[in-house]
Amino acid sequence: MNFFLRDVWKQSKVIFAFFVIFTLGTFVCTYSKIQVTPFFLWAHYSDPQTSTGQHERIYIKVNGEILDLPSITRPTREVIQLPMEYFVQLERSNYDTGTRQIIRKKIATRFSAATAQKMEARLCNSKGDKRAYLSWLASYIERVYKKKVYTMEVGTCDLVFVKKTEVQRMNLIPIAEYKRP
Amino acid sequence: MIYFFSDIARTRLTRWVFAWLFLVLLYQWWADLMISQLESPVLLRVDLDVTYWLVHLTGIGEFFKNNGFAAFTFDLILTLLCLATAIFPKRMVLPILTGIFFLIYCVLLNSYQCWHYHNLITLILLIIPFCVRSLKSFSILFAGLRYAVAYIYASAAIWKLFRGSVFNEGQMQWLIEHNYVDRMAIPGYQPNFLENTMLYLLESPKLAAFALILGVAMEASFLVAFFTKKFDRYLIGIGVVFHLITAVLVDVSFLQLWILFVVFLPFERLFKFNPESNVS
Repeated sequence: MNFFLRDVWKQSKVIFAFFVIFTLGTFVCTYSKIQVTPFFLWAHYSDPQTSTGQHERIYIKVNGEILDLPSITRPTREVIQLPMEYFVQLERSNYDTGTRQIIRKKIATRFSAATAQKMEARLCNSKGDKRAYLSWLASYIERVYKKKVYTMEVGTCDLVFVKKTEVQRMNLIPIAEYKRP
Repeated sequence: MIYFFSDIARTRLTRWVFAWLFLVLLYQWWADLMISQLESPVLLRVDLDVTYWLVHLTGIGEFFKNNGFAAFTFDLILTLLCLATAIFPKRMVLPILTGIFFLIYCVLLNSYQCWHYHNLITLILLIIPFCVRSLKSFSILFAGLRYAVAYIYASAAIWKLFRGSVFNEGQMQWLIEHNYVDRMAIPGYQPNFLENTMLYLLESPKLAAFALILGVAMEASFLVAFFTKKFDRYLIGIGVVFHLITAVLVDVSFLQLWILFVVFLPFERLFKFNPESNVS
């Protein structure tokens, strides 16, 4: 690596500077554990975990029946599942996300309150988005599963391994409900 | 040693890379993952990624949410740009525009999916060398990309070593349970042969721990790329096998990123470089 950078230095000072900035950016982001594109962190599955046989998941009940998420393709499933998991986080944190906190702490104190408010509106979801999100989710599910959604309940549950290949859904906790207007 | 690409070699490489990107985008269309296909999503997650902030502060995401036709046009232009770059690899403006559009696309998609996936956005690193005109600059940037790709895998191993997950008892069992629990919750689900193999590891803690260490060792093997190019061809093999395993284990193949392994190809033999054009 050192030799490579030495060769780069001989060939182009501009590209050398680019590589140094990129390397420093990557180190800073890695040290602070904050990802800023294009300084990616590759820390997937690096947190030590304990196997308990129990995993918290989201569930969606459509017209009273649990939606079979694994039956659809992974990309489509994730458009439903990942925002839903984030929605649960938002509901639990009362929509007080890290992004909102940084804007209030760093932006509002250095710039005007109006600027901070505009940024919050563009970058953060608020409680007012709850209804619109559930409505979007219902219409997305209608398209994917090709069935009408009259009622919908979303929440969290525990999936528990009772045998090696048998899993039971337990401890359902509703988070929000939706009824077709 | 840094090799200078010849004009013909660069042209071929441009065609490969952007044809791959075009195929990736066709997959995204098939999977309903283009911005216009997300049906004006409501939630967005930017976390503390300033690049995501900047893209959303321009108002472009909001604009596409409120204007389906504009979103569709954006998706279409991005796709055609990749195709056009593959067809006209010498038009410098095309890879630059593709890079900008691709970055915006990945940021918007990841924001609306509420998960900052790496499987697409990392390709932005691959596009950068193609955005410079001179062959010399291109060659140096492409040589640098080789280290960036090696860093991706090596750092993944280092994270697991430093955080202690690699030698953590029960880590592999948790990993398998975590990724298999949803499908196992389907009444009457019958695991296939590969899934059964993974589930077998649940009952064999020592074998599971060994499998995890082996996986991390495969990632760590990319460290060798920082010291020599001798083993580059093996790294391609190791990378592909590693991703085939992750496809079974965590249902993620990172197939879109496989094009990054192009940096480990022996270009001096593939394109029969003129030795006089080599610089060190």
